[in-house]
Amino acid sequence: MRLIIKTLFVFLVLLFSFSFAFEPIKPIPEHVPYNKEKAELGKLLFHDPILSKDKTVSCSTCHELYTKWGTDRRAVSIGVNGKKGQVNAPTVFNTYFNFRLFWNGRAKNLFEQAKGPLHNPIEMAMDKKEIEERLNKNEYYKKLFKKIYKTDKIKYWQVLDAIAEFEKALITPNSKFDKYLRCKEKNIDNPEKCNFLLSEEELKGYLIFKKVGCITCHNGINVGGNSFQKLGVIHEYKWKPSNPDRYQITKKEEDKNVYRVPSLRNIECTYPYFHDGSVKTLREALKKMSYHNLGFELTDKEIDYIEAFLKTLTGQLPDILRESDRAHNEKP
Amino acid sequence: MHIMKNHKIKVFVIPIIAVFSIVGLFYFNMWTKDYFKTSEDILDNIKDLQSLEYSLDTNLIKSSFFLYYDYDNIYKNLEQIKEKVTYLENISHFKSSTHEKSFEYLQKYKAYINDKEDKIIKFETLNSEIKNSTVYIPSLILKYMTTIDIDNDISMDNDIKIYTYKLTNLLASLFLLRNSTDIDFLNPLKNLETQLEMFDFSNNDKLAQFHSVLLSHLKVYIDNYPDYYKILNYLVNDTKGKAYLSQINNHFVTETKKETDIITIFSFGSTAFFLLLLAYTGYLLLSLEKKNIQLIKMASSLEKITETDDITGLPNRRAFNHDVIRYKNPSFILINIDGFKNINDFYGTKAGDYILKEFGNFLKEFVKKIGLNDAKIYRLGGDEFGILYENKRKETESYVKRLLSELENKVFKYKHLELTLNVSIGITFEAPLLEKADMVLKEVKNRREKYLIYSKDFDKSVEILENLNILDIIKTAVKEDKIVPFFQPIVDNKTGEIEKYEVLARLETSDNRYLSPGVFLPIAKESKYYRDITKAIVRKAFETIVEKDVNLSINLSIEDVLDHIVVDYFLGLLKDNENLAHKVTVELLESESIQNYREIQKFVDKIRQFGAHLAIDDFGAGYSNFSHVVNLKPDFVKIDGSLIKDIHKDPYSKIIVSTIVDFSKKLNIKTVAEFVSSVEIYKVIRELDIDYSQGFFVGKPIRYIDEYKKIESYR
Repeated sequence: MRLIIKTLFVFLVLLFSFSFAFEPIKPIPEHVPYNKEKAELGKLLFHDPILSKDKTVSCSTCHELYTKWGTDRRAVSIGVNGKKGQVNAPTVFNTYFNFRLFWNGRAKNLFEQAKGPLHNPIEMAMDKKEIEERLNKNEYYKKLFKKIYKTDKIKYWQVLDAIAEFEKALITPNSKFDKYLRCKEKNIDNPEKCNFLLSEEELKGYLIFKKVGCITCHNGINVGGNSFQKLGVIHEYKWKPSNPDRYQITKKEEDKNVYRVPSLRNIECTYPYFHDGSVKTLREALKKMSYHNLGFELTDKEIDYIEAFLKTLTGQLPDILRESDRAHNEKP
Repeated sequence: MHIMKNHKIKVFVIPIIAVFSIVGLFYFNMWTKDYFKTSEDILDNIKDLQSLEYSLDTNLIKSSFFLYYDYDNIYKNLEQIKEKVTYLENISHFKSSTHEKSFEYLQKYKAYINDKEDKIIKFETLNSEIKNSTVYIPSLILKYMTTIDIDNDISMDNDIKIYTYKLTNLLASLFLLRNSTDIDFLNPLKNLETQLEMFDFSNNDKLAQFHSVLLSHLKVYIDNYPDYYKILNYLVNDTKGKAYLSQINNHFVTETKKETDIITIFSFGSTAFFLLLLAYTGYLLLSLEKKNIQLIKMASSLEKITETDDITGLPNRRAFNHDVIRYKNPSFILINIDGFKNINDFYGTKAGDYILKEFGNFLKEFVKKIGLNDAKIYRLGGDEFGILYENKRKETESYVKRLLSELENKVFKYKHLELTLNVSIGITFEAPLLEKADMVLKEVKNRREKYLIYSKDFDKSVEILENLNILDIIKTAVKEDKIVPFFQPIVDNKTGEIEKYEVLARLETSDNRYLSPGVFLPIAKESKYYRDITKAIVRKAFETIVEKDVNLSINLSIEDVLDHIVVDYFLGLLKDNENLAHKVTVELLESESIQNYREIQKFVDKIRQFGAHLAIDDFGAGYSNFSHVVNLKPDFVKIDGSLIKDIHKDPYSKIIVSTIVDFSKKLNIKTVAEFVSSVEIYKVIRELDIDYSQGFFVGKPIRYIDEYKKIESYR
């Protein structure tokens, strides 16, 4: 009898497992096509505090690229005049692969996204006119824009366009896990051949990642970033009106605490976690996520494995940062 | 002319239209090409959209069926659809009014896709939640197995047993629901939930926690499944998008068909127009050709008119010039009616015209008679006719002789008048025919012949005239004393003795030829050398009188008589040779230009004092003022040659001459006949009782008088 039950259970579990058919995560391409000149100009603008009201804040203030993997490693960011924000700054790396931007996904592309921080009164607090005025006073910028946009007067849209082009270049390919995925793509008949590329812990972690259902939301190139999902499906997460969720846009009850799923790429480097930056470590984040969305906290062992897996998602710094930084150093 | 102008305009307009229509066709062709390319592009994109629709469906089904699935695929798919819609929207051709219907459906499709995107986003949220629970529930139940430890927990009470069965039931129901995606299987799940909710594990913390988490997951399932099901159903089964796309496609195709119909009609029309233009051009060319032929006919008849002489109906000089080029070996006879002017003067131009016509007919009959059937007769000038034919050079002279003899017997009758005609004839076989024949004719008159045949010699005098400056020759001749006298005998008709000689001026050229005064005198008269010529001749005449003791008749013109220097020179010579003055006769050429008779009278009186004689030259030539002549009391009158030339056959001349003779005898003036060139003429002259004769029959002009003396003695 017991045996029958056990067999039945195992059978059912296995039945479900048969549905695992294709690799739900894809490697980051090694290169994306972008306009080099334009991206270099964007890089300059990205680092230039001229774009903030009191000239103290640049995009890179909250999205530090060289050491902090596109974040500021603060719970919430600090804008002009030292004003504290309410939202954790997500990384700018690999954002090109996200289907929406911002925690609540209100921007459909990088161009639209760039407007947000520029105009936010507690971030950079600028308007279109002032940006144009300031840049048009600067001969160096005028020269650069003329070269690219063939125009004597710098336009607002050109600023956004250049920044977006730069951000497009901010991809982190060749993570340990991507190499493993590429290998599997190549050896589709014998994917187990590639297991040596990951450690046993990492492989186990990936399996658990899939088995407990993380994968249902964290899939695609960015291991997330391609759907809106609720935080606290099983155990409710505390809701505040300031939460940057879908509710802010739709005003539907069901959209409270629904966020664009964050990418897990480079996740070990982009702490602190969650929309409010309230979680400092990866382990804690895993615990919290499992509690709120699975009902049970994962065991320490499980967390060890998953953490090991997540760390394989850290890639290389983008080429555009590793290449000569002349434009950056010759800041006007 | 008007028709021509009209044609000209048409001929210009048609190429312009042709150029425009070619340019038009070229642009039309380009436009059509572009049009078909755009249409094809639009249809291709619609087809792409249709396949993307299906691919999106597939992706959605996959994302619901597979426990985990890469959502990127779905959004990539959506992005591609949206890009294509935007691309289509921005094709200006698609926005045109022709494609209003299909464009409207494109807008509907766009709205539909935006709506679908929202639904997909919502669906993926629900999908993840449900799948999350689907994945987790088996893990959870495995956890339960370890919690209750079936193998070791002997004290498994009834509740646990039932709970375990229920869990098995739950797993089976979930499996069914998920794999069937049939909402009917949700109710059993709901029942199970109600049943499971009744379990209370408050005595066992671990079980209690498991129980509550399980219920939560079950709740996720039960709460979200209806929405999930609804949306999935909608997304997978809804055919609206595909319907829109096929509407776009169908409308676009029918709209395009309408357009292509127009294009076909237009291209047919323009081709027809082009062909019409071509046909019209052909017609124009044909009618132009027709008119050309008419024009050519008109021109040739006009030519005939202009090439025909009104009076005689014979071809004229123009026709001659036209025809002559066609002859390879032409023989040409140029006939001049002698003294035709007199006929006109005496009987009127009507008579003259009639004579000309009759003469033309005579020539026509003549050539027919002698069998010169291909000969053409021309009237070439006032009193000049020409006969032109190919070859037969040898026979030509005999033709001419025959012509002359036939003409002698031919009487031309006009009303009561009966006339015979005398002609001079020039023959040539050398081009330019007319010029050469003319030259010959002049020479015929000079030599007082009937006819001559052209030879190279005739050219010489002309050549000099043409090629050298005649004035230079005169100048040289005067300087080198090459103006020499020739002497022509004048014979007494009663005795047959040479009474005297007329002194004629000749110019001796460097090649020892003698030019007659006709060649050089007209030019000399215009120059200062004229006087020198007269003086030279006069001097040499006097020398001859002294030397040879002969009577000489010296010509002086009115100009000479009015020139004091000449007069003084002449009178001086008379004075120096007073004893010989009676041997001198001054032959004065009467002419119309005589105005100052008193001067002439004075001169005449003076020479009379010395005993010299006066003769009037060319008397009866038509200008003579008898009273003036009588007043001068000449000793001789020389009857004009034109009256003598044909006197033996022209009764008219005879009448005039006899009148002159009568009148002279009464005034005691002696008469001289010149141009006495034949025995027939000589007979008439003697019959008329003219005192003296001069002419080729009597004696030709010679350089030295001695020669005549020899001939005379020989005679």
